Amino acid sequence: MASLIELKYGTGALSLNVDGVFRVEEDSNNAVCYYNTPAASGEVWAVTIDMSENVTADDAETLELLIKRAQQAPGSKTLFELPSNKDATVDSMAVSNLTYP
Amino acid sequence: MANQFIVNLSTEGGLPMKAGTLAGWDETGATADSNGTTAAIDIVSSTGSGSGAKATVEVTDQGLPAEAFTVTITVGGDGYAAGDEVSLTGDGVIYTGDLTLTLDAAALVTPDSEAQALVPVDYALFVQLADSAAGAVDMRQIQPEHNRYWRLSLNGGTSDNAEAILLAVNSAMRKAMQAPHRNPILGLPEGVTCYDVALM
Repeated sequence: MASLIELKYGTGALSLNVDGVFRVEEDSNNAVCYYNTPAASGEVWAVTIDMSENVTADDAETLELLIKRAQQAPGSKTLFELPSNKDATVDSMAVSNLTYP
Repeated sequence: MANQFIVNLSTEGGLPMKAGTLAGWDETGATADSNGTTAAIDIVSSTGSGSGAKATVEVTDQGLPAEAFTVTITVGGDGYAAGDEVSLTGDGVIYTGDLTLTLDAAALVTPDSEAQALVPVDYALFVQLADSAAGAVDMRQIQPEHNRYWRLSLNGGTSDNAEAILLAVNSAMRKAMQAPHRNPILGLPEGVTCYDVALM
């Protein structure tokens, strides 16, 4: 059963399947979730989360901890709020292939 | 055991027009003024409830026996059906008057022939709007060396109901992920129908 986190979106929330996420980093004010799924030699798939407010390194660290907890509770759906701005909503998510961090 | 949700497919609300060159326009009401291509012009429905489609019109060999109008659909719009009558009013520079056409099935996007589609969520990550007008919702998925998405093509999506549409698809995906052995049914906002599901 998938482990999900929820990100505020409009009047509701959007889900992100975080099964396989092993690392979260801040990059260009976004959160980047690295998945243990190979995209090409030396690369893995990653999801970049663009929020309405800047994501800080501390925010990314908090998200990584939340994901680790969610992964230990299959079927869960945990709402993630940016610690630096709890009103922030998700603007977009995008998949890309990135070098293994 | 697969996790999936069900999408009821329908063309009741009509279909978008197919992008690309569309032949068969009646040119008797139009006069070519100069060679060139217009900016995108709104396609006006004389009958039916289609709206939102746009096209460019290219005039070649103006004033010569080989004079021709070439219509290219650039925005498909929503709600069109075979038998609808539509027109394109000239911009007064490239041409004046109206080009008219009675739509047939070939002028419209091809819908899925099934009544229902099953959308597997086993590798799904998240859902996103394909465009701000909610013409489609994409459900992204990753597998080793594959980055794909399921596209749900919609009729009746607008920028006003885009958020409700996305949340509805997200809800169906989440329920399917969290309730194995069940097949939740996608419930779209009123006036919105899905006419095609495809793995892209």
